[in-house]
Amino acid sequence: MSSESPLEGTAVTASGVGSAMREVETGRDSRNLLPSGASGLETIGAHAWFGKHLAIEDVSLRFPKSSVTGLIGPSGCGKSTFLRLLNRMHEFIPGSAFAGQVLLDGRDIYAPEVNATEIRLKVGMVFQKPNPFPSMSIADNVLAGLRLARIKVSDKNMLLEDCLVRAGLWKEVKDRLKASAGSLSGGQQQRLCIARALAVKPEVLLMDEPCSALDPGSTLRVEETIVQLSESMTIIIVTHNMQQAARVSDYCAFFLSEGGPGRVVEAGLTSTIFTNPVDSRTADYVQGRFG
Amino acid sequence: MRLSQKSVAALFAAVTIAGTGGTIVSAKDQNLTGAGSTFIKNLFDACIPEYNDVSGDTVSYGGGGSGAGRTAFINGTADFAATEAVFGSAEKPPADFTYVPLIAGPVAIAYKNSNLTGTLQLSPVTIAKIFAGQINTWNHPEIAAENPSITLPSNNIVVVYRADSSGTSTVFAQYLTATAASVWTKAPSGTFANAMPAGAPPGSIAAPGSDGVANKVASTEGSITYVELSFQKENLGDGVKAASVKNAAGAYVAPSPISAAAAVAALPAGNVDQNTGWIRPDFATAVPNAYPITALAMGIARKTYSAKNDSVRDFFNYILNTCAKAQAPTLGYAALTGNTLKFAQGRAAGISQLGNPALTTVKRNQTLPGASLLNAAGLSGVPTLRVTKGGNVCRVVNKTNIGGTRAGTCDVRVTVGTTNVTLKVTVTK
Amino acid sequence: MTAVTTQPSAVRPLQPWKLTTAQRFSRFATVIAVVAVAALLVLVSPLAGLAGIALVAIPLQVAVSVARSGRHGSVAARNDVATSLIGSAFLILMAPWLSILYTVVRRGYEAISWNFLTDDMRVTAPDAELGTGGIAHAIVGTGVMVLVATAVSVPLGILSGVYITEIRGRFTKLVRFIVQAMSGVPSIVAGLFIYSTLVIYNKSYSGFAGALALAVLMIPTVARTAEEVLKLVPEELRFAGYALGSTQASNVFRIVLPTVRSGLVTSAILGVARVAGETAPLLMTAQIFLATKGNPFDGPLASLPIVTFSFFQNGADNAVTRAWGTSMVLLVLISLLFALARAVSADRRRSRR
Ligand SMILES: Nc1ncnc2c1ncn2[C@@H]1O[C@H](COP(=O)(O)OP(=O)(O)OP(=O)(O)O)[C@@H](O)[C@H]1O
Ligand SMILES: [Mg+2]
Repeated sequence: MSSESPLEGTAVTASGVGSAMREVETGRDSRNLLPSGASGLETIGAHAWFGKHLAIEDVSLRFPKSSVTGLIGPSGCGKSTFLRLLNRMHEFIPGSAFAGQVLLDGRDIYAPEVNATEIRLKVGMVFQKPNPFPSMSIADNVLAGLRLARIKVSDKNMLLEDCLVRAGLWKEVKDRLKASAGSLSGGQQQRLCIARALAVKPEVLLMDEPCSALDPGSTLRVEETIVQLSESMTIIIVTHNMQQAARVSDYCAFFLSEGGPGRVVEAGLTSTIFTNPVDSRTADYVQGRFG
Repeated sequence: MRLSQKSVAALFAAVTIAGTGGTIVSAKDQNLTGAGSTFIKNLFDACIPEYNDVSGDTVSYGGGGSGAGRTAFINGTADFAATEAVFGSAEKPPADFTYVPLIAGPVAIAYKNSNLTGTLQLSPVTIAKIFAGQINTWNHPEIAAENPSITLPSNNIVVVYRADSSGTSTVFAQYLTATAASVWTKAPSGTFANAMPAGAPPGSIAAPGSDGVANKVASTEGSITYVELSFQKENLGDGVKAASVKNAAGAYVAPSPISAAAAVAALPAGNVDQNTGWIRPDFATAVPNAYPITALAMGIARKTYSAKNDSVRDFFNYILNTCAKAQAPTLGYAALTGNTLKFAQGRAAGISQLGNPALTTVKRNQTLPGASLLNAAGLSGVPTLRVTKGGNVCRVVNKTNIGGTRAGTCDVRVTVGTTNVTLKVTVTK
Repeated sequence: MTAVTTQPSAVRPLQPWKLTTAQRFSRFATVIAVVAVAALLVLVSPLAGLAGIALVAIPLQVAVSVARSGRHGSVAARNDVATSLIGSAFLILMAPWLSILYTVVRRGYEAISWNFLTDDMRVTAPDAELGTGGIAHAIVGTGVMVLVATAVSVPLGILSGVYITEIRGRFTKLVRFIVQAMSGVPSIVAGLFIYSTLVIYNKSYSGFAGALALAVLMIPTVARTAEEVLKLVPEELRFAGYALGSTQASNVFRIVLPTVRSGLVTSAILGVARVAGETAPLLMTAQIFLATKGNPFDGPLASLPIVTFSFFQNGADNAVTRAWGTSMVLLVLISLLFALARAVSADRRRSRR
């Protein structure tokens, strides 16, 4: 696989070229596949470019329904980039490109007839940096997704409370729901973003280091939420915290870039990855010997 | 509904005005926009509020200069205009326009020379030579010859003139062309620098606006300029005096509202364009007490009948008959008097008359004055009347009026000189 | 070992990083002394006037601050010199503004009365006694025209900003070029343009024509400011919206624009302040009307700058005082607008935090 973009730097959205590039040979490696089962989400030979820079190469992963998958790996190996491929946020970066397939319930989300907005509604996302809407109140932030996507709900107050409780924020904000979201602390803002993502009831939830700004208590609360949520949705979480990955995830995928593009070194049951990995680099990483 | 009521009211107003010679009887609420001459603006500033008060109209005057006023009138953005310069050959005013002389004002030869006591006397040729740069010291023999009784200092003369295009410059240049053609060989122009025979004299100063040149003279020893009288008066305290100017009768006359009024009271017939109403200033006036450099500001209005034009006529009449008399002396203008005033009143009476139904309607057994028919036809002069159709409906009375015999309509031919206009006259019960 | 706890009542909030009153007083006294010495020097030297005092006082102040802070080392000295220089620069900048303000107030205050703000000049001559008539027609006229101009230019300006920063379409460069070109249009040309189209066509001046001429001048200001403000919206916010399944339209209208609401209000106010004092375009479009009138479609309409101009042209003492009074009202209104813009944008900074 060449690390050069086939697009020669032209700015094209991934959806426009997705089908043309699906022919790219996808070296399917059994190690890159999570165990089979009713898969909620699946990638086949996913590549991502920023301009001419190939950021991830040939990632094929299967995320079973109602499971939690942890993505681990050193900084800059392409975990966030991979995550953004899954809800078509990658295409917002000018000059970005994509090759491969991402199947949601068996349907390629990069197929020309697919509406990206619809995909993003089904595949929610919590970002690495908290990004609440500063112009809205706390309550409006939680319900923003409903308004933006024009979804009707019968009992907004119940939904609001439910989401905030699950994000572990309810107790702190229940008396100031009308206050500006900008008045919350960084950790509170992150939990608000989690509540916001929950409100639209996505099928898949992508979380990019959701707890990096949280105290141990809130982290625990969010982890409980993740476990609880995984009964009804597929969750993919990026984390640098090995204990967290061990605590919440059913499966793990280990990303590594080693100077070149990011690749999946090993993927499988979390217990296997942590106790009996096939690849020595995985063992080194999970035991904190590098990265 | 409201509109028709208004036009009925205006119609009555027109009738009463035609009958009473220019008093405003009924309250109206027309909004009039005027533009043009800044020379007349101070008079308008004083008269417009008074007129608004008594008439119920709201007149607003934007100034902008004679040229801008004429353009606004042509474009229809101004209901009336004021100008000191006649429509140029490239300008296309509406066919029914008329000039109405509104006010006169003396252009003073203002100077400052602290060592010069007494009043300076100047003839047109001397003035021309000074402004052309041919006479450049105050004790020049030609000035001395005209001022035997005063001692003249020897300092240099500094000519101050208008930098902007102005009506005052036009009038002054016209005056020099008319009275000192041997010296002033260039054609008149609103931009004075273009009118000076040998260009601006060395050491001369250009300043913008009447106030600009007046202030320049006030602060420059030995300087001289031409400026509307009121501006010289404002700077009298700073030693700015006005020269007496020799007229065609051989008399040296000081500029004043009275001497200017004398200059325009009796204008020679040759200076009057009966067709448009334009009057050329008479720089060669032979009236002994007349100040020769006197500018006339003309109103421009339309003869076609409309409620707005009715108000324009009322406004012009108010200026001519009421306001100018009261305000002119304090503002430094000369109100029109004598034949010139009569002529102006006649022109004003013609505004908003073309097609005015009130002027061609008469009751049975009553007479319609020939003047009404003249106005309705847009003519001026002495009319000859003839009934060309419906001789049993109306007839000519005393050669100059039309009498109604019975209800109906008749055709009346109005002839002035070689021009004929046939009007339909309605006789009512 | 015992833990030492301070009594809560004994702890008072302090701001040790600020100057003490004594320090502040001594600095102030130094400045006064320096200016006084400079004034004395100017009196006995050929230098003259305020400029002369400034010329002497500024280097003197710098020298004094160097001498005084020399004790505290060179860093402190450098800091003090910079402070003195910046302070002097500030005063030099303020001088023209203050002298304009002073002149306008000194010459115009006599005209100001309740009547001046509530009456018009329909039946009052410009040189009539002060206290009669007023400039309500001009205040209302300027208000109406500015309002209409705002209603036209603010949506257009914001839309162009949105096009450039959000839609980033094919014509982004063209739109930005047009906005830039428009900002270079002299105001007289904007007036001529509306005159030669709308005014000639309608055969009438009107407040609406005046407002359109003002809008032509306002659009670039609003568009440029809106663009700058929109650029400040962090990309993360847009991504947050998209990740929630938002379309571009609802992202723009429900997230991006509300986030910078106060910035957009500021852009509108700056636009208004830019045009409220414009004279040239109104001369050819709205002209003057002596009665108080709010209808922008019914013939000419007065405005503060044109009425000022008309008073000045009259030249009589009372008319000139009225002209200064009218300028004073205009200046106060524009200052209020700028203050409002500052307040609104300060509010934005506070809430963003
Ligand atoms: N917007 C972008 N433009 C260009 N290159 C980018 C962009 N975003 C990421 N990259 C590059 O892509 C690679 C993968 O970045 P990514 O953010 O996915 O790493 P990550 O695994 O999430 O790291 P971290 O754990 O530090 O968040 C890096 O080399 C990075 O420099
Ligand atoms: Mg990352």
